[in-house]
Amino acid sequence: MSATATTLPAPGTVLRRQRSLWRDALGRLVRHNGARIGFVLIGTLVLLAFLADALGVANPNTTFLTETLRPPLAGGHLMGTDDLGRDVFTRIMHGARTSLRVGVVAVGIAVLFGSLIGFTAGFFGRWWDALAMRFMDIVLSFPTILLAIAIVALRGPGIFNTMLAIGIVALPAYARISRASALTLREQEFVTAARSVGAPEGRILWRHIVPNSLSPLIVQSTLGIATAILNAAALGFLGLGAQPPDVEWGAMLVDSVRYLFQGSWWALMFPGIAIMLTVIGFNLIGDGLRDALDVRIRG
Amino acid sequence: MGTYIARRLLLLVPTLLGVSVIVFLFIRLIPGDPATAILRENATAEQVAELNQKLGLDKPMPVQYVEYMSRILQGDLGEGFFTRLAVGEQLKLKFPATAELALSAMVIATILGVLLGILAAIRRGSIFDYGTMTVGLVGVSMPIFWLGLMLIYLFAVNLRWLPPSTRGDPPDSVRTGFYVVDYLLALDLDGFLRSVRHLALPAFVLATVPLAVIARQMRSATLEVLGQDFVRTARAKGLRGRVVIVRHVLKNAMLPVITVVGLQTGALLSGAVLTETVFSWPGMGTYVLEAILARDYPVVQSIVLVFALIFVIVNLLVDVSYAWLDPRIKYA
Repeated sequence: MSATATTLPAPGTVLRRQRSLWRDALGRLVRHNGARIGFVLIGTLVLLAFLADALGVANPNTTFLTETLRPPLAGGHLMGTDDLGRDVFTRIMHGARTSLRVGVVAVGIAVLFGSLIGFTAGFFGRWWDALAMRFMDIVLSFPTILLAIAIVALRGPGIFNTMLAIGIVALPAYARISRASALTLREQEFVTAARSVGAPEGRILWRHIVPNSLSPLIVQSTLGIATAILNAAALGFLGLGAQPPDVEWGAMLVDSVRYLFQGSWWALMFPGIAIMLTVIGFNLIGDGLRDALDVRIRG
Repeated sequence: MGTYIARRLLLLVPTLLGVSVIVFLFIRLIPGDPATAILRENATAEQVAELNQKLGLDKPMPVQYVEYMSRILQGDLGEGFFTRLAVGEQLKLKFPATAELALSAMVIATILGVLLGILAAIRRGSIFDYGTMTVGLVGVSMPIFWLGLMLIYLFAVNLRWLPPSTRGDPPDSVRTGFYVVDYLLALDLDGFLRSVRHLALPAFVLATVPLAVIARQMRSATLEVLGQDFVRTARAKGLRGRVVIVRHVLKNAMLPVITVVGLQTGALLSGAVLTETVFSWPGMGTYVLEAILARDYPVVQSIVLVFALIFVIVNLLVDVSYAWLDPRIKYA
């Protein structure tokens, strides 16, 4: 009798299921106005990238030589055509695939290698820390785009080298963030506790340090995709990015510069707006994530 | 303070040595050797060997590095492989162009950014605040070369208010290398206005990103300072709003902004490469880009080193300016 009575909650308390911190953060994220706009922008972009074949001309490189430089809405071309009569809207949708792919893969490269370097440097310290971080400082002392240009110019233009170059220049940011997390966390009591029950160092790093450092890395990678897309566009603009038949927004820009002076602004304006909205989208989601995950701001 | 600066200057040595080693290795360890890259694929083995010998690439790498560094330390930056022009001489011509552009951009970005940031913070939650922050977000999210092209289309092609590219004609006597300053020193008002018109678009374009970043940073720094006790005290003792802002808030909110200004210098050098390309601005950005695209390795090697040198020096200046602005910061 009495045993059942003690398990009942006291009168007036509301029974609540315990929620994980991640779910809390997710809740804050979906209520974040900026992040909502960001999700709409990126959602639309992903949709367009998927539907590119269904919505546009089947092949983004199909040329219609009788329909060159048509203004928007003329002849059924929503955003007009470029100098070779290619449908700008179709090319923007296909370009979305390239941009998303470059953004995600480049950041993936940077996060993977950057955090590997950072976590091990911060956790194990000693000569490896000194060496790795000095190296990161040196990478940071090159202007980003210059380093990316140099890497691509030396390895040859193309989408893979673009991803690689943008990943390399972004790497130090992730290395520094994960090193800082590892440095703080390794002094925490739960790490000492894990060590005192005999957990091996590798396990402590993987099971305790890494999961507790994810928040800043997630925020930085979301913002990093925005930067990566901008850098990819810059490389494309300089003719070093994705090569035909791959469609890339930066390359679309440089293709249409010559015709700007004849008044054909659309082939230049729409790819630029596409880049801008995509970058705004990732920036907004990144800011939202920072607000939702950052405990300091939360508290 | 003096010892701190001395120590930081000494620390520059290993960093720059590291940079030089990496640039050096980077160029030599890429797949396919520079000679083949310069001569393109259809070169004969003899031609490649001859060029390698000419470039000194046939010697062991440590020897090459020592030779390279001893030349650099004597102030010899080498010469362009294709142009045969001395890199040092070229830099003397191109550096002022980039410096004029970058400094103008930084001045625009700092003044406007600080102003917009403070106003947005004071009127927190107003339409002005939201407007500024939206413009700030758009500013960091735009490809600046695209912004440049659109502005050229608007102001140069359509309205014909501003010239689309280049620095304009150089002044008769080049003293500082900054055309705007040189024309002013020569009391040539026409020339001065002409060079300002040439400078306007590229400087504004290059200023966009730092402007947005500074405005955001200034806004949050101001908000933080506005909540401090000494601001309330200043208000309580009857100081006028403007005096409180200028004398108490601005001074205290500037410190984090200085960091951002410093950090943006790196971004500015990156941005200069793109901005100069769009506006055919004859500076270091176009120079290094041409060299990279032409695979002119001796030039790339030296300019990248110069870029890195500028970057680390600016960072040092930023750190030193902290101590000057905030006497509480002591450097051991």
